[in-house]
Amino acid sequence: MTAFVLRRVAASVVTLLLLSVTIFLLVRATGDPARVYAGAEASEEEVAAVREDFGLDRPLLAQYASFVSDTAQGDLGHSIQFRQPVFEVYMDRLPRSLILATVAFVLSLLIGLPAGVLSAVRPGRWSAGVFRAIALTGVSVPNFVIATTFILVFAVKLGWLPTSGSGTIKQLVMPSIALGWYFAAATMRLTQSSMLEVMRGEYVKLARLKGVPEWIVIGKHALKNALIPVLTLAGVNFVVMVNVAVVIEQIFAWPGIGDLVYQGITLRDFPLVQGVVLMAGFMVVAVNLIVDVVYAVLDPRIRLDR
Amino acid sequence: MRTRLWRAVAAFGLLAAGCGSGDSSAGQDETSTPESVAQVVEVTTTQAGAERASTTLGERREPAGKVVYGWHTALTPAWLDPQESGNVITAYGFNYAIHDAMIKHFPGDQLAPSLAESYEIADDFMSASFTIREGAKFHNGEPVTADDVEFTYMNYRGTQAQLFHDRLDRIEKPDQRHITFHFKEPFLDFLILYGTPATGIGWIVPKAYYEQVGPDGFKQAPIGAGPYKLIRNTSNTELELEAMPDYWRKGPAVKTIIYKIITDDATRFAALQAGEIDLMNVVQGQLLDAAENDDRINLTQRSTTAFWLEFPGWEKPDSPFHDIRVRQAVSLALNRREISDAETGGFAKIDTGNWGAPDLIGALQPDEIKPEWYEYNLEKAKQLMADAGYPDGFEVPQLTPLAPYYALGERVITQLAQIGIKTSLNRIERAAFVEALTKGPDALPGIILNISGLNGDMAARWRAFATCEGPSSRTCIPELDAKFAQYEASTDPEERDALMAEVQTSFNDQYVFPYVYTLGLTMATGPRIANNPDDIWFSIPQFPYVFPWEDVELNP
Amino acid sequence: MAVIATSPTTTDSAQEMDQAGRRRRPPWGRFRLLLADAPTGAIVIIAALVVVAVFAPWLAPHDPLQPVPGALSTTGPAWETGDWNSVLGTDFQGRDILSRVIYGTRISLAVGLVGTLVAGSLGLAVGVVAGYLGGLVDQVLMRIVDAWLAIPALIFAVFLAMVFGNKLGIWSIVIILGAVFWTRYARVLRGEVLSLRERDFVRLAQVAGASRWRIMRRHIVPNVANTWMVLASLTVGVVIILEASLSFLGIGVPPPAPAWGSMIAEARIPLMAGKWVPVAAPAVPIALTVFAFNLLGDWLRVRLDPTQRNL
Repeated sequence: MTAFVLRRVAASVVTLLLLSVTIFLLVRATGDPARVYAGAEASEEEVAAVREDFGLDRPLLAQYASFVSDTAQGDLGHSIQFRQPVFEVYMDRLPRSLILATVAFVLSLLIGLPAGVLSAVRPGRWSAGVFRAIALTGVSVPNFVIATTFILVFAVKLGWLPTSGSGTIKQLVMPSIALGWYFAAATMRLTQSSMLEVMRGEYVKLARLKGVPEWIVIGKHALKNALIPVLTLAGVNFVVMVNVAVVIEQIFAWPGIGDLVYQGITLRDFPLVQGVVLMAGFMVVAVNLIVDVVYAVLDPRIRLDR
Repeated sequence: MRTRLWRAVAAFGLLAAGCGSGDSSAGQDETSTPESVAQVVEVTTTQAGAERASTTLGERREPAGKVVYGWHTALTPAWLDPQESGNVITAYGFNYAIHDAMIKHFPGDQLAPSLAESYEIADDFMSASFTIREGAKFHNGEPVTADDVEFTYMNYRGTQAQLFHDRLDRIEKPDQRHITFHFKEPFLDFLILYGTPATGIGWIVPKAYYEQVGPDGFKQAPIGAGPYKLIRNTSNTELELEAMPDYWRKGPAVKTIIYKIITDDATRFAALQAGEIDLMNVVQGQLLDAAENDDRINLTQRSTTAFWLEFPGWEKPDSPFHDIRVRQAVSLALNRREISDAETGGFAKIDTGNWGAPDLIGALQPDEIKPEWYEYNLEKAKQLMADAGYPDGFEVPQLTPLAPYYALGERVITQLAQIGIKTSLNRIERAAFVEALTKGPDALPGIILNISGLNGDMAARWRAFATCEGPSSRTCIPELDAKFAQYEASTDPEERDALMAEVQTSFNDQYVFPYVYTLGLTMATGPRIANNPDDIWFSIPQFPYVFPWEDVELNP
Repeated sequence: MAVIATSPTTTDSAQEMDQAGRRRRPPWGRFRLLLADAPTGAIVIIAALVVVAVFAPWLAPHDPLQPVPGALSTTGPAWETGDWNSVLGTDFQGRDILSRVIYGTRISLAVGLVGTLVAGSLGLAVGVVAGYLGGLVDQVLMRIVDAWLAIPALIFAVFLAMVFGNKLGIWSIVIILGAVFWTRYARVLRGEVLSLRERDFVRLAQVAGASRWRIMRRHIVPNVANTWMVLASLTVGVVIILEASLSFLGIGVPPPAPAWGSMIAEARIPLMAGKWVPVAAPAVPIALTVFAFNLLGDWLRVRLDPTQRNL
């Protein structure tokens, strides 16, 4: 067991190192921030001075080495645009992204779980169909259309909710639905698969043989067991929601991580983008590691698999 | 210099009067126009070797209420620090509330003393003296002193910093209310560069505080001498400003100003309709109808600066644009009326004819613009194409517009197709565009659709975009470069004036940068604001946002 | 919508289980039988889309790239203006919306299908090679896959879009989407291959002296085809929606090409002014397309691979 955990941790570290190389090279492939920050009318000398300021005149290897060693010491660098440590900018935005993602996550479960359970146990029924349709609509309509329609209807026409911004519960409603809806279908699929697998299990068959009413079989025995993988794997979705709400955050003027990283990319804020993407990657890798280890504890066969 | 400045400002008066017609504000504008021209006459005739003084001190009042301002771009913290002022006017949208300058434009009063009580430029342009306004204070209660003015000058790192530092000989401070800058050589542009948004060096920061918190700390919590103090910055997406009741000009009427950053055009407009914001930057062209139909919303529209086309590599004989007839045909094929109608409902100007707008100091004035520079004549265009040997037109690799003017780019492509010039849109974002501009003619082949918000004067724009060595230039005409070098070397305002006009005219005659149309901006005012929108939007040249903040009032 | 999922019992009987609880893939021959309860609605929609795409020049009443003569900007639909020349009205450039939607079918399907194919082929190759060869190759490839998977898809796509620009026109977006999504295939398929590798028929082939490439080609690839199909049918929708999101950010299929995503993005602003037709005209077909591919994918998933959770 210890050997397995150590192997997985080592693999995760290698993954993060590769991620750091990827992101380091990707940001540098997008262009030269010195020209952007010096302005179109700046002379070559001024641009060179800015480049030196940013430390971008050094050899790539040296830049990468200090990126990695600084990161290892918990220093994500200094944002070119925000003039603040990247970590500070990030931590300033993270809570808002977490709130948004949490509510969106709950909403995605509210749609996805019943849709998944019904699809597994009552396929073909109208109730399953309705829930599936709702869940699939979320992935089928681009979320910027959903978001704009929400604003038009609920903020402008009906005046029930504020159009944008963050800070109050009312401001959370539209962005979290728009975000969570998209992920409902994924939750539905997970739940359906998981339910189908569990329903095939021996104890469910046994319960049925014993004449336990079907709704108790489903509700008590099957669902309970099916939920564990759903929740653990949906955890990855949660991490994705934290980091990927670029469009939703722009439309609702929600100051979160997605908007931050997008701004960073367009303004060529290398340290900011490197730091934020690395943090996002760290979350994904960490969640995957935890899920792997938990599964391995529960099911020893997995350890041999890897 | 004298005449040109005069003409620049007179043109502004014309602009203001022209745009005010048709609504209730027209009368007011007409009355204010002669005044502003008169004022300008005073400024310009006295600019060299003259004093300007003002002792106006406004009323004191108890500020109350809250105004929410919907801002259209992401906020860069460096904008809150005039010491690092770049060439973007957007930064001044914040500066005009939080900070104050020694000299700045006021409505109807150009280059007026502000934090200075009076100033004097020496006859020989070798020095500039200022008397600091008595009672002028920073937000932390410290008085504005000569030390602060000196520190601001010496520590300035923004646009044109090198020039200011190179020209300075010494600073004289007889006491804390008086300061004189002595220059090594005549500094003709000093007043324009120091007193307009061309640079941020005249915007005074508190020395002690700046040194204490450092440049980065200052951007997080700036302290200025403006009418409003920044008291909250939420993730650079919402700024809360509080009135300074003892601001020298007058106490602001509104207690709280919220700058709300809403970059999405649709959401920002929705917030205005829902009454969440009171003042809004930039109503997108496609929302103009809806805005006009909403009687709670007041629109203010102004044409600002010009779009132009460039043909990178046109100097090479193998370029189809090497032939002046082709370049002229392109200009003739542009249906500017149609563009203005479609993009702005028709209010944007289509006859400023030059790639620098007339309110830009040193730019050609309306009487110097030739009608053929903005003529639309498809038949003549086709004839010229045929004469040049392209009766069926030709293909161009791409047309690259500056972001976000993709729609305009598409429209130009459609119009050029009418004379057989076929191309497709190269959609790249702004940062990539700016970088590519500096990489010579091959970085963005084909056609470029460009616009510049560069502040200051036409010479600055010329330096950047049209000289052989210009950092963002893809064009080189040695004769005009020689003329411009003469301009740079000259210390005679009249001669400089003539040279600047000559290079522009010759450039336009050769259709090097054909004029497309003049950007039209629409700003919106909600029902809670008591002011006449024309008094707070576009109230001074080269600045499209809200000013002066201390004048903004709420309906009871 | 009629049959969305099938009951677990049918699935059970259609597939045999091996000792480890893993079901054996249904052989190719049985695939036809499975079509019996296919989601007809989805298949009809997809077929219709293909027809529209192929016959676009005959179906579209106007040139999708040029303004309708006399039109400068957005005009209302025929039922508002009475002008049946442009049934759905014109867009902000005066171009016929209906014609653009019809031509847009080509682009959106091309982006969705080719993007999926690029991602799927690369993912299949990497997944099979890593899973079958194992060892260091597997370790290296999977760490790269993990690292790339850790970058959120949209952000990754934004990056690539800025690096590549739109030098290749619509194909750059296809390549970008392919580059973003292949990792998902690689990860899932590699897992499948790991267990296939231990199976008897693979062992037998090895003993018989078949080369590694032959085994991968003849024995491994056909056996992960089901999973691949399921993944692919689900990816098409994701790719189309992601392209639309990129268009919102101004980096999708470059104009003036009539792609649904960029049409919606352009028309989103007038939506706020109550002009809903320019948004709805491309949004409805996009939603139908993605919905149909999702239904198809879900059906395939339950049919072929019901307990595969990672899809």
